[in-house]
Amino acid sequence: MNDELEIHVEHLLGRRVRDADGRVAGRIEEFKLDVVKGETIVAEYHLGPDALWERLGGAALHLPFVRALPFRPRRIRIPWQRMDLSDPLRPRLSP
Amino acid sequence: MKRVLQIALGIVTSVGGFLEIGSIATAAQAGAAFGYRLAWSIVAGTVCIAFLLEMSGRFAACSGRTIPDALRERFGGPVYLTIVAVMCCVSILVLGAEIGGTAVALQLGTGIALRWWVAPMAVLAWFIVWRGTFGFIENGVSLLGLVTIVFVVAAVSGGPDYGALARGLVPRLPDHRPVHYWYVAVSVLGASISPYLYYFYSSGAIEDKWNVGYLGINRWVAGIGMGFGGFLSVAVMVLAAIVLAPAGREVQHYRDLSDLTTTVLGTPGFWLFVAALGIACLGATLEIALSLAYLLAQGLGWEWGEDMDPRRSARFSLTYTVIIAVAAVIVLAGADPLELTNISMALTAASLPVGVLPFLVLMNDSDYLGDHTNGPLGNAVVLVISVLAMVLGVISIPLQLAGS
Amino acid sequence: MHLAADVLDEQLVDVKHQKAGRIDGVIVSTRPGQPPRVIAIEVSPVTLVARVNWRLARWLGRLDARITGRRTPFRIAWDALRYRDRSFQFDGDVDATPINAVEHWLRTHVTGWPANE
Repeated sequence: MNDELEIHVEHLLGRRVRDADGRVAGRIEEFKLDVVKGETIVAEYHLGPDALWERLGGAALHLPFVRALPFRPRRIRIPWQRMDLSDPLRPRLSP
Repeated sequence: MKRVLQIALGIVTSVGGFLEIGSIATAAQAGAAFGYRLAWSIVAGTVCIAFLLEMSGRFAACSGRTIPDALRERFGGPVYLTIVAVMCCVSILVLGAEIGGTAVALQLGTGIALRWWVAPMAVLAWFIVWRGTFGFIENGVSLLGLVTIVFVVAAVSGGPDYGALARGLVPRLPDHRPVHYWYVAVSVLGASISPYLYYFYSSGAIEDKWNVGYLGINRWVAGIGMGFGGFLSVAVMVLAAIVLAPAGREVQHYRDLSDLTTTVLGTPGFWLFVAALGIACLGATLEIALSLAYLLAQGLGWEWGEDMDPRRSARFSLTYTVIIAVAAVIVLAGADPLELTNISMALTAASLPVGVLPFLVLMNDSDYLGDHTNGPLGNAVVLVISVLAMVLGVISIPLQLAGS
Repeated sequence: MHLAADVLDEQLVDVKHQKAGRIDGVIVSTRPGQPPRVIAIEVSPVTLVARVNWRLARWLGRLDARITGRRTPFRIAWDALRYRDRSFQFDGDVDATPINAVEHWLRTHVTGWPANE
């Protein structure tokens, strides 16, 4: 039986990720790639508002008033081993 | 010497291409209803568009990309499609107003009803975009647009109240008809700060193969060219303050606009007005159609280019063809060009942040601009004026529509 | 390299440097006990619209199938891509793929661009 699952990465962007207790850990905003033994793999998933700023190049932070906005910068890096994508519509963190 | 000539040509074509039906109609309405009191809105709009055009030229010259390219790359497909949807909806209404403006010019000149001129003018515009080169559209039509200097000649000849004009440069609260005052102010801002202008400008910079060496030319052309262009808008407002306001007349029809120059300059003033309106609106029609086609083609990764054989860039050509046709149908369906102008300018202002804010983010991105990112002044000016325009638009448009 | 910032929505060109659309989707393959592997990109307006609205994408997919004859969006294997001159280049000719199917149809039936140019 083929256990490989094909997933459209663009549909994962912005999806909420829950931890093992069902609490929301953050939204997927970026995927860090790496080349291992000639294969391009997803090494990390980046969650949280800071990851969104990272995706936008950080440029928005130079605009007037943006830094004054009340948000807590938060970026969570999740290694590939901890992300369970067996249900791509409901990604979960493995314990 | 070559640089001086390039700067001179750029300034001249900026001046010649500045006025279009939106800026003429809204400036005239401002002068007719409120005299010189809304001069500040023209200045604010001009300053903002000068900053935006300089930014868009700088972006293209430094990054080698157009704004739609970068919008798609940096913000992703869904955000890009949202921007396209809003820009298309608003800009097609503006395009309808411009095509209507060319038809009105011919109606005034020939006496034949404007509905008979809409289709021929749409076909003419399409033909020029199809067969013309970017240089012809950018420079040729804009040079013809220098006829709009007739408004300055007439305004000076009419004997304006320079003291009242100077006082009008300072923003202040209206002393009567506040809803209409802010609605007209918003419309003036929308007429000046049209996103299609900087999409067109950045694409033009790429068509003309600008690089970092053009940054100086870009600053002169955007700053001085737009400055002089804004001067033309002020002249229209002054004319309306001289000719219409004392008689208690408001701008209800395009005939009222032709009275601006006719009253001061006589019959030559009438014919110069007809020429100015027709050429200014035709130039804007070409720019808007191309601008929307650039927005789609660049963001979706198609082959594009006004200098490319249109048969080869078929999707790009089809896009501007459909856009011109849809805009013409809106006018043919009976939309009054003046009302269409008013509402499209106000909607442009209300939707400004959708186009401007992502662009401002790009202008602070050193991945694209290296050392040439925005300074705090440019960020602040554009952000404040755009958000102000949006807030005023969101408040005043429903009130104005309810009142009328 | 980051997928969303550096790959998704980037310009695609062919081996002759002709524009070939944009990277509308990226496919990864998950394998038990191993990291997800990037295997292909998709170039299709259906893939792009699906990121906004599924129903609209389904309708567009039916229209696309009528024009191009394809029932699934066009994919290019990840290994066939190179990052060059600020765009992704694939080893092939865009005119030999369905990417420009609509463009070719318009050139043939509407604008009259000679087929051999």
